[in-house]
Amino acid sequence: MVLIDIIDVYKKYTLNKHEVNALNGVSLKIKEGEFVIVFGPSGSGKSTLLSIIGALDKPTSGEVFIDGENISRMSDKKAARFRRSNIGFVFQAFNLLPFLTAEENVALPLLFSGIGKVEAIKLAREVLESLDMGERARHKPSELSGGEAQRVAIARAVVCKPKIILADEPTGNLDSKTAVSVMNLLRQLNKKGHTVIVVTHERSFLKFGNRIVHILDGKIRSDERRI
Amino acid sequence: MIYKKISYLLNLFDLSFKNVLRRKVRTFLTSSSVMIGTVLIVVMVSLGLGVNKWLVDEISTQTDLKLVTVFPPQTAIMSLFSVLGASDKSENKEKTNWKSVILSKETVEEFKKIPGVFSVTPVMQITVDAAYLEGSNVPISRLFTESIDFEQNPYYVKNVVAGDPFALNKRQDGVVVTTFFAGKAGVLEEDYNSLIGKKVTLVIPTKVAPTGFFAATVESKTIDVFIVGVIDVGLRSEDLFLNTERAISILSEAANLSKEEFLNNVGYYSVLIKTYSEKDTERIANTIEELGFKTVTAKDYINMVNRIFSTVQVALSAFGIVALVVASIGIANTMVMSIYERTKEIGIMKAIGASRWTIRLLFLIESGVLGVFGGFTGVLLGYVLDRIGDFVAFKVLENSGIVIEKLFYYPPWLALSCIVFSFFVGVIAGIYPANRASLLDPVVAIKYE
Repeated sequence: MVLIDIIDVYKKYTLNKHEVNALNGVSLKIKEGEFVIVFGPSGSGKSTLLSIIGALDKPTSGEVFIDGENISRMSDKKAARFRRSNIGFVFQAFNLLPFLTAEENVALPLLFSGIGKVEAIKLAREVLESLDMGERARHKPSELSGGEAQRVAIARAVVCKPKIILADEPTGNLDSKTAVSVMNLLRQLNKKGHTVIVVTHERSFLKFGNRIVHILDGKIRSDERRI
Repeated sequence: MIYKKISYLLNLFDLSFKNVLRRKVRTFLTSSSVMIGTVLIVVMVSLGLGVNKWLVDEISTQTDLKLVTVFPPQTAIMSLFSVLGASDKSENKEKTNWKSVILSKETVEEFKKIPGVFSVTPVMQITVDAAYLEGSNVPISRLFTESIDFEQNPYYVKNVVAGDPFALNKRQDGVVVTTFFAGKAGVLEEDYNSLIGKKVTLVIPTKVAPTGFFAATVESKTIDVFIVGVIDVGLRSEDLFLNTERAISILSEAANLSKEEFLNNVGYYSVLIKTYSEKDTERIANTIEELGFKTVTAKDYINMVNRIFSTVQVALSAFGIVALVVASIGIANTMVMSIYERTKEIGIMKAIGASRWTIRLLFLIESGVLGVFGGFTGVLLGYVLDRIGDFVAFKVLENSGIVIEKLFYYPPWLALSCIVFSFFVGVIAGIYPANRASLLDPVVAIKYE
């Protein structure tokens, strides 16, 4: 079943007065339960694609359907609700809020959706414990190692039980050993039923995905499935 | 659904508090400007309220809530004319119309028949050009002279300083002087007792002629009276009190009329009506107004004082409001700075599901909290300053004989409304920064370092 349907998406923006074509007619269908690695050099448009799938950004032209819903024409309020319930973002720089503890960071999407604080913290703890991070729940991000911080960020991404996890260079700030464990963690989540899309420029991580989309200059160059 | 909305707002309050407490020094500095504004409002308004309350309390104790003072309508208009400096001509023109509503002996009898009326006391007012105290040939001028029955109206006497003012009823040749008169005559406080029995020579005009704006005395005569008492009249301003019968005969003689003629054609200056119950006062005053007279009750004075002070209140709190406007600019500045610093965080929050409104509310609450911090500390500091002010004022005024225990009156509603007001000052200051934060592009904001 097709979960994500990207139809002829273009994205232009201006950077320092130069017009940049980040995406040049991208079409892609992603099925539920796939682990997709979007591979390409920096500036190839892979992060932009991820932002558009995550309803953070709107395409200049083209449409994106997720679960049959057109997310490229959504109001801000709807898009925010859509992100909360369907998308989990994982970033290269972890992007945890420094003034909140690990469990508060994880609980944040729940807090935004109006779940009471006690309940939200309880759910956040459960997720952290399932990722072996229970003991660090009360720590601030500054007291966590890179690997720990990324686990907290992944916990935050899955706390609302989203269908899709979008990871933008999740291993970019980690040493290779920790990076492998993070990729393994994402694979475990994929096996639990989350559709995972990872953007990377690291060739060595291609083996984790069951589908490799190679993107260059805003266009899909190759798209191969592995069994 | 409602539960979700409430916990959503509670969560945002929680986050905003955490953010505000993150930068304690900045929070303190920003909210201290709100604090200063709030302190100004609290101190100014509570001073106004305190003086207002003190005046109303004084009026309530020094006047009688069962009392209606009745004036003929021309008195009110004439005193207005004299204030405006109008000539006699305009008065004469309409005098005939007023004749039916003078305070004659008959009208006074009519007043006695109104249900609820306990007693009716006529009052005379006499123009005294000058007075000489026995043993001195220095004239004392600008004397406010009335006649009154103290037994019926004891509230005229705040304190008996010397002698027996109540003896005036039986002494047609008596006079009661007030501490104002004693002051004008240059008598020292410790010598008040020596005034009793002393002669006062009054110079009373018998014929006046208009000269331009003011009436000048053409003929006058002197009358000797003897001091029977010295009193303190508190908020009132009379200098001398004469026996009512005597006052009537002085005035009728000056007008070349018999007493009867005088009372039937000119009438009493005013009439004091005492009611059986405070509840009847307003009704009786209205009944008399319908007859064409002017009435004044203690309630009228209290209403007037309250009206004046509500204006004073607004004027005084204007200082604080100006300070709060300045403070709100400070809050806006802090919030704009804070958005620059937290651009990345705003992007993150949007990515993990915060809508524009969530961001907007988060920042509005945060600036509101900054306002409340200042408002709350201002309310507390204002309380401390008020109590210090009370103490100082009490000590200073004690020597001048004015006992005022609470110069600063600080009711709970003042504290509460200051806190609510400071919250809204903060929220209003946060509108622009919050909007700005909410409109940040999350894709750009996340990459911001």
